[in-house]
Amino acid sequence: MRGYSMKVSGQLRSINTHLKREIEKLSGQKLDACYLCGKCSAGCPVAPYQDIAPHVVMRLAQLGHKSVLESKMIWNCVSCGTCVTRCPNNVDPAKVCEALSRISKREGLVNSKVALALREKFVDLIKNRGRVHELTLVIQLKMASGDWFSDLDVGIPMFLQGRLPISGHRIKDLKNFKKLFEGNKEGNK
Amino acid sequence: MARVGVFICHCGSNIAGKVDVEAVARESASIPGVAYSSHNKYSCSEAGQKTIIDAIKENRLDRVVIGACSPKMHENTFRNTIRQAGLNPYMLEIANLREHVSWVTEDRDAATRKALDLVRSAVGKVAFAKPLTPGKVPVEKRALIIGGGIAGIQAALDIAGMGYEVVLVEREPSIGGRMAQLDKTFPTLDCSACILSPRMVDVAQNPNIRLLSYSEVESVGGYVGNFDVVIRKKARYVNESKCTGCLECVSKCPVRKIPNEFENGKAMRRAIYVPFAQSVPKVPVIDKNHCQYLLSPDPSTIEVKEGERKPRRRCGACKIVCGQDAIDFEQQDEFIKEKFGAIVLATGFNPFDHSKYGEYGAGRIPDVITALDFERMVNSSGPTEGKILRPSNGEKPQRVVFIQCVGSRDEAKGVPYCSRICCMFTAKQAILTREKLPDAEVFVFYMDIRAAGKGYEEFVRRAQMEYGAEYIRGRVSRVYESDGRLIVKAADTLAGLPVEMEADLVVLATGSVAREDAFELASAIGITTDSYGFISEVHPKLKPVEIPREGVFACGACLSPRDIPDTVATAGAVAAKVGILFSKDFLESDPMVAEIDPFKCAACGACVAVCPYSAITMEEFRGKKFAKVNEAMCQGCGTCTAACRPGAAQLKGQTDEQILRSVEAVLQW
Repeated sequence: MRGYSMKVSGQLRSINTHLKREIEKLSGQKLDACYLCGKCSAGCPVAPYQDIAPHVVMRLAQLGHKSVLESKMIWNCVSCGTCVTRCPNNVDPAKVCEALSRISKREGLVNSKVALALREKFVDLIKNRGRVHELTLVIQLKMASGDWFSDLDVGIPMFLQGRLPISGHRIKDLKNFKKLFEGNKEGNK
Repeated sequence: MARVGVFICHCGSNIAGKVDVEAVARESASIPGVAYSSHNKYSCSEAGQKTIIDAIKENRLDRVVIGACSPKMHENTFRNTIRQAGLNPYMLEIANLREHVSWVTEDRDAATRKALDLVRSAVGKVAFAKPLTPGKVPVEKRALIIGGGIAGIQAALDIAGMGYEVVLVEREPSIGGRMAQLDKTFPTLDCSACILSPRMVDVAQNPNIRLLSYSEVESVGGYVGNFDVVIRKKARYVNESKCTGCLECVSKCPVRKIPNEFENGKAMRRAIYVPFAQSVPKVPVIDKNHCQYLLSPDPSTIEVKEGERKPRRRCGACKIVCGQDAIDFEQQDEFIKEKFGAIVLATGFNPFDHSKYGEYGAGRIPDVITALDFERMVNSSGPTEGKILRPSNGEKPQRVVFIQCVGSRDEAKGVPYCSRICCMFTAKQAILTREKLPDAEVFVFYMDIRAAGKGYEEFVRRAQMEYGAEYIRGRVSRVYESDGRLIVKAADTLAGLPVEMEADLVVLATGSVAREDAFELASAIGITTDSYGFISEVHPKLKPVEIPREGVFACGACLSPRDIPDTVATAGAVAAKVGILFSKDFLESDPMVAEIDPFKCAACGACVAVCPYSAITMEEFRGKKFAKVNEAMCQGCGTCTAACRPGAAQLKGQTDEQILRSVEAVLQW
């Protein structure tokens, strides 16, 4: 990535205002509106299991600090929207996470193979079938991670209860649905 | 022929940086009527003014154009300058070469051309200026103060102390306001009532102050020095002159379950009541919405049909027990019309309504209380007699959590500003909690501590170090009930750790918001508020208590959230401003007012209809009708001159002729 880096010592060397602008543009969020109160981190259901908390993502994004692109948090945000509902400044950290994950993928800085595989396989499935097929997704994910046994205790009961059906559903007008993705190719977000 | 002098100011580099001032001065000399022109580095300086005076005398100038900053800045300065040179101060025209030219362009040539155009226009206008003399209006040396909180009380005492008469209007039955509801005050922890009630008594006893409690201002007319105000004195149903304040009536009233506004609804009062023990005046009020007597019909007016029971006798318990015969159920609202020279707004604030915070329970969780609830709870005359108890079960809390910035610094809830007082009252409440419940833990969730004030930072540090209040930096995301306790979900943003803790009592540091009823009052008086509803001052730094309507002042938290020291300081400032106004017997009225030529007037009445200040009336002289302007009431807006078809109405100093000449001067070139 090109851009002017501040000549400061240690960690802060990777502060990058160009990255900051790009995040703002991609996410549509005004990063400087955030005053880092931490209310997003306080309410986030996944934050306790991540490497950095959402308000730290926001701070690193404000600095344009490259390390944020390697964070797990940006991939594991489930976009539940608790953060934006409670944010006193109407900032949407979930959108920032999404923008960061896209930049992270482009720059090849993804720190979580599974997260990336999940994102890609999920979108592929939607593209081809119009709807996600859980069993295919699980198998593809397992292939990507090479970890076959970790979720068996959850997977088997789900399979037995019919939560992971062998034949999935397709949607009706798949041809027209696929046009949605063509629009995306032209950069029409 | 007029002899105009043109003086172009450099204003340092403010004007000269963009405008070729020398060229403008040189070119101006050739404008017809201009007898002298020059330029000066700082015209407003003493040396600059002397140059102008000397030039006027040497060149026998009879009118002056100054090309300088906005007339808002220095018109008065230069009027005084030419007065010193022996000219009428109104023979002056200012061409605004700074705000209208140099500050708003990068283009030097265009700036110079525009500057010259403005000078030509001003010369054209000043050539037709006529000498004007200000009128004189008498000052009614009585002040009206609206609001009887600490701001109004202090202003009333200070103005009365100067020997002027004061009328203090309070809408509640007693003065005292928000300060009377507080327990202790930061940073000294002195008892709020102990320092306030002596002042309340002073108000009642001061011969210069007339207290109108349970009253509201209905309308305000007139102008500075001569306001006409109508005050509605609401029916109290108790004769103030007869009542001795024994409160026997209160103890006998059978209607007991009315939430007491003074206790923030957390305790009950009766239908006849005084809000609190130290009330001034100590005269009870009958709440007509709850009184059994006033709500039930008069039995004598009801026709009783055969077989029906006679209706119950009306209550009237208070009337029966009153030894002074002070209860008067026939009392009606009284309208008092009085004249005042100055009006002071001291209408105060409201605490933020936390029902907007769904994540903190929106007022539905009994153990989540507001700071004001806490103040009453911790006060020995409050609903729990000073004990800190959980409202849900009346037990002592083991852990008390304070959440700051509830209704402050929250753009999403419409309150982006800092309420200034919450950091301090939270520290105070944390200290009081640790004092009263030494075994309880106290946690304070904050974003930033704003403790800018004398002794404030030390006070917050004392709460932490001496009293052991635990401060955690992070905004709380959610508070919810679980198994009879509260769960507070937050994050310590400094440690980067999630925090989830159980609590027994959560106190929300609710911020300050403007009173909606004050907004209505402001509209009635014709003054403006900011986007949050706080009253706008003329200048936030240099005129902090003046209001755009002359003769009206404001102090205290109706201007912006502020603490008691700042409120008292602004109240004193208001008293000084009122004193300045009242030190004169007459006010000079601006001579730039409308004037109607009775010979041209067609008596159509168009001007009477459009005048926003009701300053024009129709007169009759020897059978001929014509419109006449009251010069004291006219504000010089010029609406009538635009409405007048025969051109009889003219604004002095801005006549049609002057305006046409100034336009003409620009178009000619």
